[in-house]
Amino acid sequence: MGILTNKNLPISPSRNLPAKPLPQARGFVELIGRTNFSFLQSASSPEEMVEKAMELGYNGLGVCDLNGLYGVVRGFQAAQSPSHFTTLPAAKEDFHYLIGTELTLTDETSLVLIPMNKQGYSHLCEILTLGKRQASKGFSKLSLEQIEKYNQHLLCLAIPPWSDDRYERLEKIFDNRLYLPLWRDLTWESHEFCKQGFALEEKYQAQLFVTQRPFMHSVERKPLFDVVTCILHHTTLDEAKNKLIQNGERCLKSMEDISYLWQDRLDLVEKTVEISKRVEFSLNEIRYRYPASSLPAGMTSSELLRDLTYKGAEKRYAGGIPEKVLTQIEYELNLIKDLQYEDYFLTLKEICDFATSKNILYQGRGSAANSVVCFCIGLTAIDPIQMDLLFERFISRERREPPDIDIDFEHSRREEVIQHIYEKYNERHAAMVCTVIRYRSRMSIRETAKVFGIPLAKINAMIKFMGRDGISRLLDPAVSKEFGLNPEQWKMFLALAQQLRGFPRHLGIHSGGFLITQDPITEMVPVEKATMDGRYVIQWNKDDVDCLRLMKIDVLSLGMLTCLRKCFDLLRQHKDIDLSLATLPPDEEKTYEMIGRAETVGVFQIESRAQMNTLPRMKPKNFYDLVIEIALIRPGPLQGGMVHPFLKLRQNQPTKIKYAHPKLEPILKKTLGVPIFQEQVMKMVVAVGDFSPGEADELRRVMSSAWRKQITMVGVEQRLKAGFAKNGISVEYAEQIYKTVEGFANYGFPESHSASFALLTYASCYLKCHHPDVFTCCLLNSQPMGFYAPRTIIGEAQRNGVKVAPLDVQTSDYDYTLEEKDGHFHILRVGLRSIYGLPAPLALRIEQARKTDGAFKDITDFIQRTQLPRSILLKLAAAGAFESFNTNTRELIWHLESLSLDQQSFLWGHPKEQFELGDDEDEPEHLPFESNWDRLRREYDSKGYSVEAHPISILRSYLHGKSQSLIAQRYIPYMHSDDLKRFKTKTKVRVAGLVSITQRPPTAKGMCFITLEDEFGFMNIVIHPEIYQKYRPTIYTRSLLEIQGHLEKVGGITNIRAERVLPLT
Amino acid sequence: MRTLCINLKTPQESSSAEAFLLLSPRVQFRFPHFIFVDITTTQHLLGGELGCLEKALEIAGKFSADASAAIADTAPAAQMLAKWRPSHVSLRGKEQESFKGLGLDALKDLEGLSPWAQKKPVEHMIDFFHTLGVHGLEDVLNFRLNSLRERWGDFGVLLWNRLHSQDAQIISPLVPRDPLVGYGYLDDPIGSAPLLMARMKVHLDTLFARLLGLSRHAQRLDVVLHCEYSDKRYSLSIEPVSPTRDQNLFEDLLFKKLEQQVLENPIREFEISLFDVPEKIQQLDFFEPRDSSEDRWRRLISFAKQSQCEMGFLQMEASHFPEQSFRLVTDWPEDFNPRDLVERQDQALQIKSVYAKGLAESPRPSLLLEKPQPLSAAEVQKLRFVSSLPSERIESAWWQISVQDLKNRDYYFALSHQGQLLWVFKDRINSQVYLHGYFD
Repeated sequence: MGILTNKNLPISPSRNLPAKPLPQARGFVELIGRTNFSFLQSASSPEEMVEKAMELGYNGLGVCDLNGLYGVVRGFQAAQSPSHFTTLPAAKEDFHYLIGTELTLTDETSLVLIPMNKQGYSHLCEILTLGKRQASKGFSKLSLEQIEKYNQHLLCLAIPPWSDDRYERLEKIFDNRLYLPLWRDLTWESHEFCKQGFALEEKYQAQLFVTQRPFMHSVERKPLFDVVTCILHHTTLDEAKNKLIQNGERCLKSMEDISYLWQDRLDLVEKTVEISKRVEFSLNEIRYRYPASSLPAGMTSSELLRDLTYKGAEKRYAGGIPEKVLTQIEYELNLIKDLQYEDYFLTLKEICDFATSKNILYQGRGSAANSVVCFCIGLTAIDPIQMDLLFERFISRERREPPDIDIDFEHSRREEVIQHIYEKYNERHAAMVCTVIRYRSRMSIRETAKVFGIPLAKINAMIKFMGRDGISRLLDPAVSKEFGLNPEQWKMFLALAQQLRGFPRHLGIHSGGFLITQDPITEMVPVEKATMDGRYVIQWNKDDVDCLRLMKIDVLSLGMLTCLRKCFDLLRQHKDIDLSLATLPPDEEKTYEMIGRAETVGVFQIESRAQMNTLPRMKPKNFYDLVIEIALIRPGPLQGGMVHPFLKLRQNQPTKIKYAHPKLEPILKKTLGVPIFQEQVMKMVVAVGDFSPGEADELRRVMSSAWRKQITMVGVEQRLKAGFAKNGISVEYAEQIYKTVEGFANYGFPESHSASFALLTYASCYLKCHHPDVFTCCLLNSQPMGFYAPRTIIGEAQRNGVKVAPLDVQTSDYDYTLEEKDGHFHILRVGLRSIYGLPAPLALRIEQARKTDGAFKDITDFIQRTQLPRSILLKLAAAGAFESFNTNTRELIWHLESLSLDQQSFLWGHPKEQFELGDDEDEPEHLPFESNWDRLRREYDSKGYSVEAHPISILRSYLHGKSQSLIAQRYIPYMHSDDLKRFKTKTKVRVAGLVSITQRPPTAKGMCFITLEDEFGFMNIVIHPEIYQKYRPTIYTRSLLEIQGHLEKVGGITNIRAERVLPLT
Repeated sequence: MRTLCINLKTPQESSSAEAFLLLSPRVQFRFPHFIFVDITTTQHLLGGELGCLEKALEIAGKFSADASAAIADTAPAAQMLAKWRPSHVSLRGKEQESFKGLGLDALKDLEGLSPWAQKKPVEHMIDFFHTLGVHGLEDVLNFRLNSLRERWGDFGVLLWNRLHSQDAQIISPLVPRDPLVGYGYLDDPIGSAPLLMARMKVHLDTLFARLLGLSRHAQRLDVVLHCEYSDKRYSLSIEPVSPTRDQNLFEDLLFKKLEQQVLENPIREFEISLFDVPEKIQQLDFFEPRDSSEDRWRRLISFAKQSQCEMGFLQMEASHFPEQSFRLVTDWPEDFNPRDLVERQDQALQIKSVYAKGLAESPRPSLLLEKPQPLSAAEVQKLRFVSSLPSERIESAWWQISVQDLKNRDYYFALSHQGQLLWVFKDRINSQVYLHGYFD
């Protein structure tokens, strides 16, 4: 690749360099820049293009991606507010950032349109929407006639080749707004285009200008450009031939090079500045108007919001609104009025009211939880006054950023809310925000490998080898040999794969971000069809929308809300208890005791292995402890090494806490001097890192962007350490804080967000503690969600005393249900939804048939009444759903296999189809006896668990036998999870169990954690990296494992540190 | 009459006799693997009887590696000698002299065009002679006709006649009726082109031998390959620019086509059909108005090929580098018009750029050196460069590991001392200037 960095002025071999310098162009604007948002047709990001243009001293840059405005906001941001953390040469003061697009017309010609003013921009958005709305993803359908209608206020740069006809036609439409670009990229084609251009200039006085038509910001990106070209054409480098660009000249060149290339026509270089001066539009001008709410007669939106807030406050504070709250309400309402955000709040209120009317559970989260107005009008459920949360985190007059309110709805019913929004605002005024799907490590390795012609089998092996470690695992040069590749080529391939990582791949739809506008949305941003039918997305993602300060609403979904709503319904139905999120008994002691014992399988947020390990040490006693617990076990504090110091401090409860700097005390007091929440980190860098508010704000954005640039993070690190050093803070502490920042950049919680989640955590824990039957039933009915498989959830319920009744077509509904009481709790009946691959409509058919005409008489009656296909009958039989017919399941499966059930036959269900066991010619008497193990396997295969027995309990007698011989040989016998309590730390143990979860979090420095389960409970296995590498295949391929190791008991937590991991055979 | 008998040793189709029509029009096949050729009148055209024998063995080699042949006055004797005295030519009118030293078992092969109806009488006769103490064939010649008639009746008479050249068997002119087709069934299915080609070559050899015997030219060769495990069939058709007997040409073309095929499954069976036309002798005439120029070029290539001269059409290739941007092909070249790839759905479209499509229109010298020639600094100094900027910059193959494969060139037009317009490039990796072509 090195050859492409050798960039010289192209001078003929016999020519001597001129003695005196050549005349230089007085200015240049690259009008037709292209970025990687042209999806595989460029090799540089918008930021790179802008930064390079600034570095080279251009007067401006136009970002004109193919058929869209996808990347313009990022370029705008780079041009408008360069990062505080990168050191770039100062751009020219009047650096002009232009936006536009290169359109492909149906006659296969291309032209670039650049809006001259706001009106032109609206026209451009209309044109793009027109081209995209009726076309599939990646396609465009536009003709010159359609563009003609919107041509006003747009500059047209017609891409060659040109003909007299084409020129005349375009000139007729665009008049003096038509320009012809010329470039010299040392290809014969560009030479011919120049000839055509000069001829048109002579004949029609056509307006020419110089461009480099750049596809990359630097010549060093030529290899990457070739790689993306190959990906676009689905070919390899060796086979791509003329699909690859001829040379690396299509990049941003220095002013000297441009002047040298165009020394004969410097006027055309300077012409670009003149053209750019015709453009007065900037993305700043996009004014956003939120749709005016439908107001009651005689009321302004401000008055309505005030009215609703006070009515809500009266309900929330039943004993009278405290003075502090009243003051805060007034303050917030005034600020909302000043910033004209009332309609935004009212729209959200209306959406939440719709949800309430449909009995859809919802809860606001994020920074909205800092607002008492949001609490009063019912958008959030956390009292910010009680929690001492800062309203400025939500709305600030200085930041002037739009408020960001995320609302979670039940995951199974969010679609109803989305449909309501579409119905109410229609597609002219509402569209969803897109997400840019990017090349991640695996995909970039896979695609680059294909381009290098590496065989598919080797690529798959490579991806498998990478595992969860990403590209870093492949960086070892010795690895290249394993895949039979030359080390040089391997290096090249990896470098390109890393460059490709993070490139936009295509647009996806944001999970719930809506942009709702008063004026037609297509005048503000191009809208295109999403893959999902009837859905439209704008061409910008949430960061772009934030950057332009547009207000979006987030309609998100949460599985736990579905579970909780179902719990509340079931409590009313079976136990006559009327509960809601607002009426749950607060700070209930038994619930916190259960949490302290880490019995949190299935609950919200604190069910992970890491959380469960912390709970016995943390022993939460109140709601705020839960808030901390949730924010604590996140990559931010984990990477910053904040978790153990915090837990230590909490256990010791020191009277005086040491702070690295006195200014940190007010910031970290709440959390015992340890930064846990995102806002604490931000406050810290301002207080003792000498960050300006602008820098702190950028840091916040950097922290919340998964695709931050490496260069920016280096800048942050330097800036942070320098600031801390200036304030006399140790290098070690600075390093720790930087690690925390890095961690927060992956995933970190602000306090308000954590508080919102803590409420759901508490609710789920309360229900699990007091109503495990109801909680388990609803949790299973809300699957898939959470960490654990139904098997583990059912096992946990059984251990908590809930009786589980097996699947039975005579009693089971589609959902899991509760039956009459047995002991403390109701019996949980397994639902038909538990069977793998059983379509819901067919399961409901069984339920319906039984409820309409009563119980099934026998299997024949079942077959005739439900008319299910044979494959479904087999699934039901294998899952044991026919056992109440007193049939041997194996025999039944044998007969069902040979049954001919033709759905099309008019004889279906008639006596001819009589199904009688034992009358068949193939007497199944020869069928072998089905052992308990066989039966268990059958049930596991069909629904993933068995309510009768745990696999290890069936294997227990075998393990006992094996233990005897182990003891005889003076080896350690098998123990079960209950035994472990009796032994001391460092005791050598041998256990067997079923794998519940295998985790290898990126923050754990290569450690692997397995939760193993036997009939008595869970066992925590800790596998150190060297052991993990040794037993990696076993860990990922076996579900029954034998672990040999020793016990580690710390602070009430029992772990087994594995020394050997073996398959249980 | 002089008869040549070829014993092919392995069972053959009757059509294999057609290959021997080169020796005489009177050729007859006898089951299972004997060919009888009447060379009485044609042997002098083929270098005498020995020449005939040689040619016959050469042709027979296409059918069987260990074929043998002999010439005698009568067909039975020729057959017997072909087996027991391979490549023997008996004296004209004295074929019995060639029987000397032969054992009695040779009698079994004294058949000619009509084989012994049953082997048993011959074996019985041989046993009887052995009982009598007669062990050599020349001794049997001493028995009288009557003695044999008395003991073995008509069979004895026939044997005596054959031994004494009295069984005149007439070989009629061969009228070819069988189509030129071959069929092969592979016990072990084959998926590799070279292996498959090797198995088909045997059939191609015989087909072309027959074609030659028929004095015809092959216009087209069709091959149908049947896959194992599926009903998938691959049909390949080879049609050179003009009818030819050049088996190598057909084989080359067939092999190329085979290599291009992506086989779904290995091949179990194949069928080969050769379409023949009478020999056509044409005068090359550039001024003949009836033919298109394409036809005339095709014919020229065909003639050149028949004269062992390498000539073909230039097929343009989509390469960045001039020396790789064409190749010599025998087929009429395909149109080369590189364009952007346009995908359409309804009326909407998506264009995938072919960035170096303009290379096809770039000027290239009329004489391009196969290997660029390095120029010394002195030679470069003598050149007058038409422009200071390169006319083209070509850089590619950065992914190649070996430095020789890395290419990064700036091309210029330059005038030589003699006023010849040259095409030179500067290698940007080693700064060496090379001459790459001349313009007319």
